[in-house]
Amino acid sequence: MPISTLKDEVQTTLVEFAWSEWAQMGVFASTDRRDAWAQDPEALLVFTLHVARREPRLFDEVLDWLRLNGRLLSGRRLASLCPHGDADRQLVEAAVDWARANGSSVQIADRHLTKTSEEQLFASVRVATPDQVFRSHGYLKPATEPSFNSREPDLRTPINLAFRLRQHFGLASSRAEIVRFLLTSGVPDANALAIADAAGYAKRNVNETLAALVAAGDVDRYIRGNQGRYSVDRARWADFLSVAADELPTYRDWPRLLLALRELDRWFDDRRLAELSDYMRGSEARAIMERLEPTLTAAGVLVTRNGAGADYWPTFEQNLERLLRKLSPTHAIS
Amino acid sequence: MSPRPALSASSASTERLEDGAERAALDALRDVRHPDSGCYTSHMTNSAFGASRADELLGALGEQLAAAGQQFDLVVIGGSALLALGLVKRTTRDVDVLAIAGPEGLIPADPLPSPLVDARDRVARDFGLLADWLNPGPTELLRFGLPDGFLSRVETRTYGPALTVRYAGRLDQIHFKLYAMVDQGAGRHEADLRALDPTADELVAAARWTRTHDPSDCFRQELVAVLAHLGVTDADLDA
Repeated sequence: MPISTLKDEVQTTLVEFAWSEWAQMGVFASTDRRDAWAQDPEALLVFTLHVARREPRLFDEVLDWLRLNGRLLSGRRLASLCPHGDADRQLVEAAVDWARANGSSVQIADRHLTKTSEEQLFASVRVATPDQVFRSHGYLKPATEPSFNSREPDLRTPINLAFRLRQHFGLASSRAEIVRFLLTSGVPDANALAIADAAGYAKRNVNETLAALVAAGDVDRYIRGNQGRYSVDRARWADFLSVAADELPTYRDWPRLLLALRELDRWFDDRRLAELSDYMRGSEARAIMERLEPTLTAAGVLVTRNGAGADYWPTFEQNLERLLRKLSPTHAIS
Repeated sequence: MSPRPALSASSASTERLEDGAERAALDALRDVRHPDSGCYTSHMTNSAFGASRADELLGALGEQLAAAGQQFDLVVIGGSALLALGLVKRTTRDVDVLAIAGPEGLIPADPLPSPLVDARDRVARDFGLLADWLNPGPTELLRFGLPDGFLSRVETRTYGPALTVRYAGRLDQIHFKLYAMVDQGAGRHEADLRALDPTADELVAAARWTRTHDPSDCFRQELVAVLAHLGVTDADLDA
């Protein structure tokens, strides 16, 4: 498949995915999907602000959602999932500042304004009157008024489990993230490192929170080898959440999957790729996939390397296909 | 409560795989030599290559160098040079770089310059080759001198604008192969030498050159024995 076709397919899929997720989370849009998984709101926000630079309407509706629902987001997780040095960090800070300027309490930890130059936020939109908040972060974007279209997320739907747990446990600690992982991951138990990794918090903090949850009887702990293992009584939690145990939301490693997709999306935007020989294009594809392989493998995506030289390209396509399949609602419930 | 420092790949999270089939496929790829490493192997073992693949590899090397804004002019001997000139039909595992040609003549190839190493490593990754598929192994030959008129006999090929390769000519390959046969034993060196079909005069000339590299009596005895094995029995090696 020519790279231009592959790029169109991938980037269209990413934007459609973002629309369908946010539509289930309160953004003004319609979707037939009702995904069975629990979404990671901070990871999805960072991902969406990146891919929606090709979809201004999505960008602005997500800004409006952030205005209304930003209080449900963790500023610490936002900073953790989009740290300084991440190419989208300024964009996330700009969106947070815009939402705050429009009444939201959303925050991002470790703020650090590093504006160096100005660039167009949307390649397809000419800016007559720039938005001053975005401009202060180096982005030329048309002045944006809130659409007031957004709704609060429906906490009864699986995709919004993170918000529901945050309503129970608050945003000040890692409790909600720990419980979300233990409830949805599908593994019988996990160690503190795996839980901290999924929760997006430091292991030390997660250890303290786990100890509190164990003391409260919300989480069970036992020792295997020299290691503490943690689990939850899914049936009890399902009862607490008023769902059948087999209807608890499922798990995706969204931070890793969406990070890898952002990297790939950025890679496809490199115009040089279209001018390269088949071999060099394959080499570049192999390089990005090699860089992402640890992340993708940890997220459960099989990455293969078959094919020498230019013959790697079909393997690259297959790797992408397996990655994009993780966005498909194969386990959706009606 | 502080967030974790940065998103990192952790083998711990592989326990969250949802798809049993993909899990099995991942397990099948796990490094069988170091199962606890959590690494996955490429299963690519393309370490030997023939003439056409050698051409492809050097073409790829040229492209990588051009992309990096680098330019090299290499002098190559050994199996890959014999293959490139159509003097033998076999496979080889590496490209032996004798020297790097520059405005001031030939300079030793060891160590290979880092831009060349970077490009070489990318090609190794892309084609599943051993990292040293291009190496400066024979560059020591420069120390005691090349056969007279060496550069006038090379065959020069270009692989794009960034890579020129000068392959040692047939007579010089006879010199190097005879030296290798005496120094390292027969095997493929003898096979290559016979494929070059040298005349007695060519072998004698080559033998005299090898003496400039190793004038020891021990080497002389081995050389005489090898020449006899090749059918040359009355050579004056000291002329």
